[in-house]
Amino acid sequence: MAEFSKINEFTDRGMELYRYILSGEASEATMDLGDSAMVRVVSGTRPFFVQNYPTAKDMAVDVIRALGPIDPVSVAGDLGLWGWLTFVMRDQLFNRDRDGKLRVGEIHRWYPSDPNDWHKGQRHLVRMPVLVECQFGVDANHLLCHRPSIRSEVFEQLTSQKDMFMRVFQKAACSLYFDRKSGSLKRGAGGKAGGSARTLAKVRQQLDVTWDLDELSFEEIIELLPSEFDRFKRES
Amino acid sequence: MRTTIRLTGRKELPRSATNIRLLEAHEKKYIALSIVQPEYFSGFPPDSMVKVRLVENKSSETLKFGRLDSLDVPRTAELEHPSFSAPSCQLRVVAGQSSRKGILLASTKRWTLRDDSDPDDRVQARGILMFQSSKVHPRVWRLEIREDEFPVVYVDSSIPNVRTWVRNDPVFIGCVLPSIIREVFEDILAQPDPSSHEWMEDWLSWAESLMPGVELPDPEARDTRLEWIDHLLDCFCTKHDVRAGLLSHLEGGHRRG
Repeated sequence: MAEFSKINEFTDRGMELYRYILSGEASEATMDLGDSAMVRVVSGTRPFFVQNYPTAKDMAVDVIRALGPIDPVSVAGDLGLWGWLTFVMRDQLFNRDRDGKLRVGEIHRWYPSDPNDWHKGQRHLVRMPVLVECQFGVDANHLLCHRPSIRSEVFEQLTSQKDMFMRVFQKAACSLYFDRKSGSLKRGAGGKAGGSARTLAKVRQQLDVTWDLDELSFEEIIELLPSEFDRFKRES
Repeated sequence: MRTTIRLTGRKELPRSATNIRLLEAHEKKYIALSIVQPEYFSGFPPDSMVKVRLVENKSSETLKFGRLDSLDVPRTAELEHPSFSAPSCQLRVVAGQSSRKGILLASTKRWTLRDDSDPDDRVQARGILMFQSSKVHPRVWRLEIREDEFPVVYVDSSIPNVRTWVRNDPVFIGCVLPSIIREVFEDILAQPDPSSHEWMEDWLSWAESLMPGVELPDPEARDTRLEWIDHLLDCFCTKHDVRAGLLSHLEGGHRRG
């Protein structure tokens, strides 16, 4: 596993080469992570050892630790930082085909879009787990309990609206959908049936018209949910 | 079935009912709030709580400004997220203890709040494209398309007098602005129902003023969409004679050189 004395970020040239590499137009070997034309150190950060992270949460916690005093929200728009992190963790984030080529999928999973972009901002496989972990901690367990390479339906649904980035809402969702005993999502949380995360995303919009959700406790939010959520309520 | 969700008579407040500003001092950021049209608040219980919800970069913060009856003087609250530079903003009035706690009594529509350092702010706020000075180096500018607010162009803070530059510089108007317009309309025209978004409707009205009578393209037909945008850009560049402006600027530059 790779070890770095500090977190780095790609320069403009580094980002350009990174894009070529992950889109399959250049070899991974062309990136020299010691070349100051390609990368620069992010001052104040701590040593970073890339590991085989069992979950996106483990990865996010480790990145936050290595960022040290830097607030991840304040660097959400530093594309070179998220590009570098993705590159050094590429074997944790992507599978390879028989020829050893990375299967990276849709571009914004690995090339960070602008963080406020409402279509693509939440797709990045490193930045979004870090942002939700640093804001919600244990209340983000339902979003981050899968492998780092996976973007779950629960994650997609419950980060799709800007007003979802609210601790009390995520705490209610975590209580509904995260099984603390198994450390995984409850069956049906990511489905399309009533009471799923998909339904919660729609109901949240309706509740937000009537209630100031910030003013309520997570138990009060759960109490407001209609009967289609009863199964998850009982298990919460 | 969601019959258990009760809709209230939540009141929509105009933005002009309050004056909300983003201030920066000693590396900290503050939101200053004052009520400028108290008549809009007269029907609410005095213990109603006044809040401002801010969202930016997948992060949200709600600032509490206290009871409504304490807001006869301006109030200031410090932001926990000093990295907010142009957050989405919404004023909310929430029932206090005397009525049903947590019920939303009133709110404004969302708008983008920008720092108060530019006296030209009010003029910009009426436009369909917002400009904000921010650290976007190594890029010079960056477009951000938001879900329910006007798009924002961040221009690197090293560039002086950003709003003057974007209004008057022929290079920006001739070379950068068409690219921004294209990107915004690619997003708008890819939506199944763009007119359901208020800001998109305004952009479409603007396009209609440039090319009256031209119908919107089929959202499923990419070639038709691109042709429509090309036509719009031709109309924009013709109306503003961007080539003449650019040439004049370049000739002026050569003479100075």
